Amino acid sequence: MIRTGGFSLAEVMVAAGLLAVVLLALMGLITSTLSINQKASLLGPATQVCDSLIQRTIYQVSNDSPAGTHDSFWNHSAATPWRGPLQENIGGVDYKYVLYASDAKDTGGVPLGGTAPGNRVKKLDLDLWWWDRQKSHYGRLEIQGTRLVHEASSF
Amino acid sequence: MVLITALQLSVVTLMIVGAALALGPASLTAGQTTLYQGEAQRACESGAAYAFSQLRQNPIWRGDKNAVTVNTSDLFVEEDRGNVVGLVRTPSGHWSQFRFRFNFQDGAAGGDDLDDPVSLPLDFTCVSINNLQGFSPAPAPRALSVNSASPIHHSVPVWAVSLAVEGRSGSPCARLSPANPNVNVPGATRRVVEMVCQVPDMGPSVQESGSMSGGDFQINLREASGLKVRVTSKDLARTPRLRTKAKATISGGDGTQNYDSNGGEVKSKTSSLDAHYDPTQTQTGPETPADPFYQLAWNDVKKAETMGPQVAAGTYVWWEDGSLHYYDLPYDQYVSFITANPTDQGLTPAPLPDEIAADGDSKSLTLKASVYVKPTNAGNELNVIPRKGAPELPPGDPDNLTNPYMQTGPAALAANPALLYQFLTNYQSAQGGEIDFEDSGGNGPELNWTPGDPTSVNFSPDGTNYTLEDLLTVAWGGRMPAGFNWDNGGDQAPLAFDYKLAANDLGIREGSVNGQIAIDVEDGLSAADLKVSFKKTGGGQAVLTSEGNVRLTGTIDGTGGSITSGGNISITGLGANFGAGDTPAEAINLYAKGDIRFSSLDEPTPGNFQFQNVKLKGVVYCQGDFVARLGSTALTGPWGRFDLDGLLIAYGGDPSDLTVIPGANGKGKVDLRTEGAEFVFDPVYLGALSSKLPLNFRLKTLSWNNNL
Repeated sequence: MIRTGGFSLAEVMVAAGLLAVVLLALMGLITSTLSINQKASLLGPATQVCDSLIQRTIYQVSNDSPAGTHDSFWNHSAATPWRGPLQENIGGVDYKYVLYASDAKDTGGVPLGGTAPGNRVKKLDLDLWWWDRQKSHYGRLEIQGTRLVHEASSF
Repeated sequence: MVLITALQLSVVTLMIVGAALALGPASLTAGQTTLYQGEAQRACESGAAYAFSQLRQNPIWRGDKNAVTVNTSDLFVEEDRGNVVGLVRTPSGHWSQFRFRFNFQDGAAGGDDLDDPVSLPLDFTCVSINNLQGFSPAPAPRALSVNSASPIHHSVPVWAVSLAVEGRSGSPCARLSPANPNVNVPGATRRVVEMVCQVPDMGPSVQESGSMSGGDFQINLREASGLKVRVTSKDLARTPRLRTKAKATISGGDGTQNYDSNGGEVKSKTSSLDAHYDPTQTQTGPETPADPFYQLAWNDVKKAETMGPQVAAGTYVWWEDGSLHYYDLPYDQYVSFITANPTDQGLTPAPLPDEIAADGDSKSLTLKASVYVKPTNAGNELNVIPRKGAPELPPGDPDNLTNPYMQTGPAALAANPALLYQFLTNYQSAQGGEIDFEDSGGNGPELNWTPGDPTSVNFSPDGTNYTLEDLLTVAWGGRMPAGFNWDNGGDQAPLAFDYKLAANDLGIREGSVNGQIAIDVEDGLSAADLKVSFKKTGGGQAVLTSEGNVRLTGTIDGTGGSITSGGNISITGLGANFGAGDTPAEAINLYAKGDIRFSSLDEPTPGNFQFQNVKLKGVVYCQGDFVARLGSTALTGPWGRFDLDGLLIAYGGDPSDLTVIPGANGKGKVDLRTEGAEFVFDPVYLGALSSKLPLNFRLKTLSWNNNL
């Protein structure tokens, strides 16, 4: 019996199966990569948002704008959030954040900067989170920013 | 064919897979790097916030607490001889780090005056400079270990601080912890912020100088003296400089060079120096009235606490038998009183606080703590003298007043109303019953009397500080006080008269030389027998503060001593070896709102005179004149030497008034008569003159550079 050409059914099925596996793996990889890229593309702007919110907060505290912000910040000593949760829509992304203001104390338990007027130091913490618009599988993303703030300095 | 197709498909698939694997994490890493850069930047700013909080508490702070200063769960800071490392924990739990250094890391005897760090050496070339207390711009070098060849990146102006903070963040910082705050973190994201911030509105800076005088700067060396006036700087990088708003004159010496200041500068009104000097070594330049001097107001001077240990104002008199007698009188009144009552014993033993030890054997007083002179009926003067006083100049010195009755006449008249009336009616009646002088404001002492009425004599100080005796001193032929003139309402100057005849008529005996008290008692005690020491128990500074004059007689010695006077300081005696403390807070050696006068005349045996040396250390500041008589043309032998390690300022006005030009009050003279003089400008004491930084000062950012 002479074979005239073509593949047997078994061969075709094995080949199709292999191809399906490869394609599925490839699709998963591409999806994952797209997801990472999406996450990375959101991280950069979020970092800038984080910086901006911290700088804006320090400006408002330093300039007491709106009125009462300065005293509210420097008199806050509880572990609870000083402000928040608050929400800002920037670049089409809804960012939510909470601000904490905690006392900085030296090894003797004395507030850093002593008791001189205008010389207090606080640790400002920002907790920022957001969801991707497409509600991708990675869910909620979150970053934090922290720095010391000196009462008499405006930077 | 199928194989070829399958192979091509595989290659394409592998390429896609490889690209996805490569690009995915890379883009995520890029995002994280942005995040870490932000954290590193905020770490820099956290370091700056920490530094500024410390600087406002202590303007001379340089990260030199040499301890862990903060150690909480989310913040850690350690200072080590000028190097500072801090860790800040984010809410997510990882550390970021800030670091900065004031230490030059140039060894123990380097240019930063700091030992090298022990636990926190920094591999970071940007050096921070605290020049908040500086009086001239300071260089900010760049080097791991700074030396004279290190490049200077920028100059830090006065009243400013240059702060270079490195911030580090990222996953490598997971190796950091309070136990290991400064380990290597290769691969960490790094940012550097350098900012220069200055206290605003502080006015023009002062050109530093070892001596500043609102009036003439004049030193008279003994003829044929082989010694010179030498002016140097302890810090070789700083110019040894003299500044005067008037003339600078060095006279005397052996005819060769009498002024020596290698690399130095003299600034005067005439841009010249009248001395024998080498112009290739010493430059001269102009000094204008507007050029500011160091301004140290009385209110800014460290004083003894008014509520601390106190000694009663008045005159304390050592007698030859070792007893100390107290008279509740100011010096001039004491002289009048004791002249009239030479055997009066006053109050003995003199009431002294526990903080002043009196030793009758050595005739010494030792201050063991800071002591405030408590005002009494005597006013607020403090005088310590031997029973018969102490001559400030030998007989025959041209500075002694030519009128031999000057020392006794006015005091005798002031103390005896009947004698005063007799003097006025016999010798001053032509004045129409008035002697009157006034200052520019129309104030001045005035003496009125009615011929024929012995009860009519009336003295009006007119709001001035001048006493009846001051006015009578002028009447006896003395000089008019500075700033006063005769009342231009009429011819009211006292008549010139034959003081010898008048003294004879009035029974007034011939006076002694300045400082001597002519009383007819036997007492051989001289200034050389007395001593005043400043030795604070347990170390530190002992400050003697009086709101009025301070007159001390005898050898003055001690380290960490300070005399602050709201009037004049007069030190007469065997000599002085008197130094302030070594820290800026203890740098004031002598401060007087009036004049400071030294005389080191010693009379080892009656009639034999010689001068001793005076050695001072620290800041010597007066609002009037600084006069040191360590020699006299009446004596041919060697005179005393004058040495100052620190700063000398004779302001010539009230430095608290920023509108007052130095020398405006007609004073501010530096006038020395000495065998030789050595001025060593020591900038370590400049900190004492920086108390003008306002409390709770703010810092204004002059420059800000990111990521150097």
